[in-house]
Amino acid sequence: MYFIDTTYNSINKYGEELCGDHIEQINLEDSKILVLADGMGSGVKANILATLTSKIAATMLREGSSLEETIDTIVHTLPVCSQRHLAYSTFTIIKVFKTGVVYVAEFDNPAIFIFKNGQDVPINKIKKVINEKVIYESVFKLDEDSLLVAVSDGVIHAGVGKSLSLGWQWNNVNEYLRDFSATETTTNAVTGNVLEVCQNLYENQAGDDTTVIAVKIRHQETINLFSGPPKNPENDYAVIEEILRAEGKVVVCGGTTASIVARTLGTEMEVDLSTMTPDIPPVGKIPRIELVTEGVLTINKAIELIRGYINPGFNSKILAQLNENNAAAMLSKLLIENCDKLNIWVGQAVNPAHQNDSFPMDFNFKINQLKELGRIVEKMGKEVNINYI
Amino acid sequence: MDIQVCIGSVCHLKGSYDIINKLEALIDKNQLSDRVKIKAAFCLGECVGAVSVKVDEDIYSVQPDTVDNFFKTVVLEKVM
Repeated sequence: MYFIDTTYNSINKYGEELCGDHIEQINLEDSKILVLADGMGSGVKANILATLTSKIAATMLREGSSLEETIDTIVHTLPVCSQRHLAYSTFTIIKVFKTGVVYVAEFDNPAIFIFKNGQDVPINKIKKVINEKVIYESVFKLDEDSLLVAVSDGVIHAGVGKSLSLGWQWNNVNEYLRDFSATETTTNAVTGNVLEVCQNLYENQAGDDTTVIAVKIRHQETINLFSGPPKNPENDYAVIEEILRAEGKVVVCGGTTASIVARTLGTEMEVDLSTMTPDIPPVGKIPRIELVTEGVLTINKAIELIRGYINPGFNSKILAQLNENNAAAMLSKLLIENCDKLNIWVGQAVNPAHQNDSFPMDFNFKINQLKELGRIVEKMGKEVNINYI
Repeated sequence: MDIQVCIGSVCHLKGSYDIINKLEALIDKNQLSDRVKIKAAFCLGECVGAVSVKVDEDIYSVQPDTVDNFFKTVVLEKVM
């Protein structure tokens, strides 16, 4: 069983507040379904067409409807454009199973890209006509060295009338992605990089809504995030032993918690002052612990960063912020890139910090904050468990 | 001699960052950098008196505007 790593993002057409491309992701027990829909036109109308199409498709497929039924429903549901007397939204449906098997149905979007070890992977597509619409279906298998990318036509046309008279074109995008896939391993880097190239080709004034989805599979990576001392101090040792024995990496968030961990392990904690910023306390170092940070302030900032990262609408600043040398950026990056399953261990003891009346963040704030962190990590398609200790 | 400045949540909010910078400047100015080291410590457990600063085994409550006085009466006193 693999973890299915998906990243997607869009650039809106220049001057538009709404995106005419829409992606709907559904996480199922055994698979993930992604639907990329590109509504006709731009702005509000395109946004409605794309949202309806992707929502209908994702919901129906999740409930087990066939492709025929789904497409039939979409065709009969979409509002008809008064100018063109057409109801139209292209789409790509990708269903990835945890075994690595992928099912794809494509309707009028640019063909999907598949690579393995820096080489193209040819696949067989079966042509199907449903309601006079030509759909290409394919089934294939991904492994840990493969990369699957789907784009809207905004990518293929990037630069039309600006830097490139014919746009970026499928073959060139394929070549670019092939080279890039040989060196880059994260879906996040693929999506961010392709969108950045598009932004440049469009000279920062995208002529169309532009969307990229990247899919990879990999073995599951687990993070154990430990924050707050256990309720009963007598349990400190047993709890820390249990967390260290658990599968995956350990992250400690909280000054008091970190001191207890260091003491239990019989070591001293070092603090790396170079990571200190006016907003965020520095990181500490304890052997066997992947990352040691202060608690509430750092987690608060990390939640803000991850929110910015998953917010639809491409923001190139967020990638730079995630690479800064501070505890919140390191924590966010770890949760975004190297975490498929997050176990949050919430210590329920009252901290010394809570005794300072002028400290604005009380005990409940801390608990709610960790729950919120769990919620946004879940939103990225990862599995989250919260344990109270 | 080590000076440990607490950078736990409360102390950080109350000005650890400024205190560390000010102490480093004072140590430079007095040419004590080979004798006094500034270190950061996670929660010293004295959050009521934030910002906590530990010298030897004693913990002092220092504010950004009392750093000069603290340096004069505690740090210089101990190293001289």
